[in-house]
Amino acid sequence: MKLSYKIIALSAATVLTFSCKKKETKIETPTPIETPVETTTMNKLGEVYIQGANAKAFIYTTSTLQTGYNEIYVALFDSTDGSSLSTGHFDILPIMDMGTMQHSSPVENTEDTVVTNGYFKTAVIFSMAGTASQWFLNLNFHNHKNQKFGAAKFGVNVAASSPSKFKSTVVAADNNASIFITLLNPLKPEVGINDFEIVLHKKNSMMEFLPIDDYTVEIEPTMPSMGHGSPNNVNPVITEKGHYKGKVNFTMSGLWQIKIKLSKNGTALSDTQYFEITI
Amino acid sequence: MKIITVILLSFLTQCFWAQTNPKDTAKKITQLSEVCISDDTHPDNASFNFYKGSKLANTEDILSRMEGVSLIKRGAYGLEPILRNYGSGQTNITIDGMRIYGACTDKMDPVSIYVEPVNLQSIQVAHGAAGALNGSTIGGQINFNLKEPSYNCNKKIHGQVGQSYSTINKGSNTNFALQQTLHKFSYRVSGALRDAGNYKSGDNIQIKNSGFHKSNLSAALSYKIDSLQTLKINYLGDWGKFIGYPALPMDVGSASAQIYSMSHHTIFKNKKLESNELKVYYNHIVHQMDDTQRPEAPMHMDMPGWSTTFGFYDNLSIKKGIKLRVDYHHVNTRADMIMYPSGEPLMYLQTLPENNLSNIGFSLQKLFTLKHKQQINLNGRIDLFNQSAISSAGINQWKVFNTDISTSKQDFLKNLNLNYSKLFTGHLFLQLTFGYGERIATSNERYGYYLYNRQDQFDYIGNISLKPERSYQTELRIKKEFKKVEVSMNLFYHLTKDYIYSYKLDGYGQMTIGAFGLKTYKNIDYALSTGAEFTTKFNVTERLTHISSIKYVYAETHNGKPLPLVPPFKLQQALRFKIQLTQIQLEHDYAYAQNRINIDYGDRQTPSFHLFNLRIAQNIRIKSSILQLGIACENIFDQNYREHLDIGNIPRFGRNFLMNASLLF
Ligand SMILES: [Cu+2]
Ligand SMILES: [Cu+2]
Repeated sequence: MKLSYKIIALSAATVLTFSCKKKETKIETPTPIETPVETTTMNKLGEVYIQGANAKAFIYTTSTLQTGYNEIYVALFDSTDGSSLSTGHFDILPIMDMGTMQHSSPVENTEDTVVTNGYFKTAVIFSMAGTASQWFLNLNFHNHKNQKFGAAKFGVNVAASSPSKFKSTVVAADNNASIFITLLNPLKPEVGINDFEIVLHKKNSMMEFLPIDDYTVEIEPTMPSMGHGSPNNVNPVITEKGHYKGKVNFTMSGLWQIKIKLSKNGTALSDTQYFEITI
Repeated sequence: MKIITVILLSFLTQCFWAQTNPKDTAKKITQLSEVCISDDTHPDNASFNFYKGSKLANTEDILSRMEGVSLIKRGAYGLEPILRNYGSGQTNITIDGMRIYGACTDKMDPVSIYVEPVNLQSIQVAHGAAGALNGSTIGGQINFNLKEPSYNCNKKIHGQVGQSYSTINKGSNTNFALQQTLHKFSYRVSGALRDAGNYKSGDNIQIKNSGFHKSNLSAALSYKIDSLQTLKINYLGDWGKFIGYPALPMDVGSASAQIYSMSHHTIFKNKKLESNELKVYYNHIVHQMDDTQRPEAPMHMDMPGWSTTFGFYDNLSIKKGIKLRVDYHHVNTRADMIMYPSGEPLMYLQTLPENNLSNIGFSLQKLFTLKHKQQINLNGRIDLFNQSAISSAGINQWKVFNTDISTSKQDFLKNLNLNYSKLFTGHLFLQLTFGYGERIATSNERYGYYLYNRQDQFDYIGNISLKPERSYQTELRIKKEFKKVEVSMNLFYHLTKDYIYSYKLDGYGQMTIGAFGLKTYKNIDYALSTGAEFTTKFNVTERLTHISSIKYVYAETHNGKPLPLVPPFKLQQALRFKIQLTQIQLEHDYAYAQNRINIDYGDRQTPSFHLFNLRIAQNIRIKSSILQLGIACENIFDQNYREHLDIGNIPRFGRNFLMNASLLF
């Protein structure tokens, strides 16, 4: 198991290296389909027909998929006339197929039924690395234009984030719950004040992960090789759906570790997990 | 007094001949008096003249024997002069009136290190606000005047070569100087090479990391435009390598100073104007600290620092005792810290965020001569400062303290000094001074970012909102000349409002490995400093002179806490015997224990000590040259001692034999 995981991680890393070499492509115009409004540079993951809903999905991410938090943008078009589909209910369910078993991962599907800027936006927190054979995305679309429902399956490569932006821990004091801690910010860490954001999820079943809103989060940044911290950090507090936001300060460039301390109603739950950040 | 001057001159100059050979031409005598002027310009400072004459002294030895001057020692080299209890931020140290800023956040490079005795013409010391003529200050000013090429009709090359050796650190000092006049041009080139290994303190204890290497070169060119105008160009370069600072956790891998100036002097044949001096200058200091020579260092670290200053001043003398001055300078400073952990990305920060400081100042001095040998000297100065951190990593760093250091800070400083003096019959001289001085916070005090202080083992961060220190001062000087004895006494009392004082920041961690925490500065209500200097000179016989000086400072905060780094009571005396071309000088230093200490600052009690030195100098005439030979034994009884201001409990030199040979031609 350990070995195979290593192999997976290794191959994922290879994929990552290659995909990194690829130049980020500007959004392509899906012919004969209308151009999505958004003009940001994104990676196109691919395209797939959503059978039954008369729709074609173009799938984009802001960067290559990694363990941790990934924003996924999907533009949907009518597969017969090529017009943009702007209303409907779109969601994703990520599934990892490990042969003997399957499991999912936390996902943030939008409740919106109307697209903004031409995309249905979702986010997936991949809990482990895997190549296309293991991770796939189940795309479900309820096309409000024709009231048809369809689904598609789309294989993706997920590389291991390095340093890791995803941690999982078993919290004994909370009924041995398996807790997922995902780092969202700082995306571009710099010396000075940085926004800090993590998402907490609790594993309910292999297929269901619930955002945690009732934990207390404290952060402690340190430079491991010097043993010092930084002043005036702001502990993250819950905003919505398991998202906790605060501020983290870096007094100098170099390697930092941000220790995450979790507690609930005054009971300490976990203080061993940390994220590494290099500036 | 005259005798001393003669003794002094004979040891000072290549113009020795004028004294011993009265047959020489009158021109040569003129040349002599020119040199004489230089040291005569500060007749008050008998100690300077006296000790400088001993030829075996270095700049720091000379400084330490001046009224109210003490030295902070961090290594065998680069001692930082302090005036009474005023440190580097509170005093102005200049070379030929030029502002030069150290590039070291640890104060390893006081300006005095760039002046070698072979270049030194004179040192001017002014205490308190009286030193504010050339720049706002509360503590005073030290100005080093470099030797200048002089005009004489003798077109021969004059010069000197010297070599000295000290046993305690296998230290050698080679120096040379050349001077010549060619028509309207006159030049002087001089230099020194100094090398020293680790020194030993008393009781034969080796002080690790105390050696140093350095070279110094100075060149001056003077051009006489006409009989009233002169143009001068000066260059001073100084290069140091592997300079050990045993009292600090780091040494200096390399340091360099490049100092340039150009000046124009005019004498007016005008009814109202007397003279004008305009000088422009530029200097660039690079200071590279590292710990490569420290095996115990937890992680290799570089701490480079830079300072670049340019400026000008114009001194205009008007008849009726008026002097006007306008000056401007601009300085850019920055210091970095780069750490190299093994197998990890390097770490970087700016310990002194890059910043610009500019200053324009005006001063006016007016001398009123009254009846009955009375004088009133009034001088005032105003300064405008503008300082801001400039766009760089340093600004971002500071954001973690929710502080924006990029907004520029303006300060308007005022200095006023009123001085009344009267010469009574019977050679009694009395001078009463009232002064008011201000000084702005240093860049370290304003922007410093986790600057480690070895003394209290705290990291320091600056405080951008520090107010200027304001000092109210009064001083009394009494001087009395008897037939054979000359006595002078200074009494001073300074009250400094908004004194900048350090305090601990609770709840904040340190950065430096092993430091105890974080400190910053704040303005406290006031601090006071009072004390006295007492000097006597006793011409026992024509050949035997005794000189002694006593310094004492008492300083405390508004709530009675002793200020840190206050030197204890000190007595320095010397007995000089001079017969023809031989001079023997016995020196005795005594420092009282310092038990009034500031524990918060890491001050340590220092026991008292006695120190004895013996110096013998012999001049030998060889044709038209003079060979000066000197031998000295410093710390004769091999005392293991330290001065109170020495950082880190590092003892000073043990018994040291010093030999010196110089040829003046
Ligand atoms: Cu650090
Ligand atoms: Cu330094």
